[in-house]
Amino acid sequence: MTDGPRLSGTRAGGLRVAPLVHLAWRKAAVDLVVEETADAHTLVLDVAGWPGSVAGQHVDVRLTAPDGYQATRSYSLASGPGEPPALTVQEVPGGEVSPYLVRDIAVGETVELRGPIGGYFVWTGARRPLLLVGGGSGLAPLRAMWRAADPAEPVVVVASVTEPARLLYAVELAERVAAGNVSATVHLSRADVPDDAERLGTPLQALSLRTGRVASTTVTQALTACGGTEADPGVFVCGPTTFVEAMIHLLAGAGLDPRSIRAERFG
Amino acid sequence: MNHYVDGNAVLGAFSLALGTDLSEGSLECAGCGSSHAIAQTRVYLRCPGMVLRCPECGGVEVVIVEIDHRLNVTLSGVLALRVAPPRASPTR
Repeated sequence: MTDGPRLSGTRAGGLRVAPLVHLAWRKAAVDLVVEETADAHTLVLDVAGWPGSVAGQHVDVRLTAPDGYQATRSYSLASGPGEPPALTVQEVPGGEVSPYLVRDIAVGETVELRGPIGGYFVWTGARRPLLLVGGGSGLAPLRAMWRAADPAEPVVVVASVTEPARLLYAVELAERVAAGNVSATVHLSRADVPDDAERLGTPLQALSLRTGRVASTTVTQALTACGGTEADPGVFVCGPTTFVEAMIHLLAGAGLDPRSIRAERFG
Repeated sequence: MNHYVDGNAVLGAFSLALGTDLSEGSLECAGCGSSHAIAQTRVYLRCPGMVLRCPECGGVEVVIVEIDHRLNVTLSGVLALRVAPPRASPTR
């Protein structure tokens, strides 16, 4: 980590405070736009001096209108620790920031960014195996985590989306399932799994699809696949607030200590 | 109502306001005495500024308002703020 400004007056022996250089606003140029779904795009950014990130961290993004009005939002990093920063932005209809980032911004244009930020909803590799539970665009920081995992390391993914077309990273998930270390169960909260699953296309065929919201059986199976509660898996839940609360309830019901769950709610 | 997000959303602004990285910081609620990570607080953004509430009792712990590029932080509901030392490296 580079040296940054330090607070004066830190007289306690050996006490260091965290440098804040990473919290200065920096220019981030859009290097690549990946259309994940009809209304969610991943922006791969070029940030000079990017220090790398811990899986699960986020950044703040600031937009400035011609009249000087500024809007700031937090987005999870979907990129692995050693990769350039990437944000998956789900368009919120009527929002101030996300429609611009999904619909309007083009390669070469810039936004302001500060980060990486966060030390709670992060996976440093200490607890394993990984159980990743994501609702909708809550999969974004979980992608950073499965990318941070060793190729041989078991990772259990439980995802919830309204319908198949809304699933982020379907191709990448299918590839990792095929590679053997990742298992993925995808619940379709507002759609039935079609009888003819081939209609869904190649990536989705590789995933275990289930009709309806994430059920206790899915959670119990996922915990078992991680070696059970006594294995002390790294459990991360990210998604809309109601989804996160429901998942914590199910995980606790399956015997997991709720205090061991790391959760991130985005409203 | 579930119109809140996690404390992660304000770590950037809160850290800048206090001059140190609060990514792994924790708060002790003055209302109920519980301790929790700042990331675990309930943050309400649909109001002027940002309001951090205790995840246990719902009491207001911190209010952050930016006025003319100046961050104003009210810590009326905080008994103690604990700041973790910085990580040795930003990558695993």
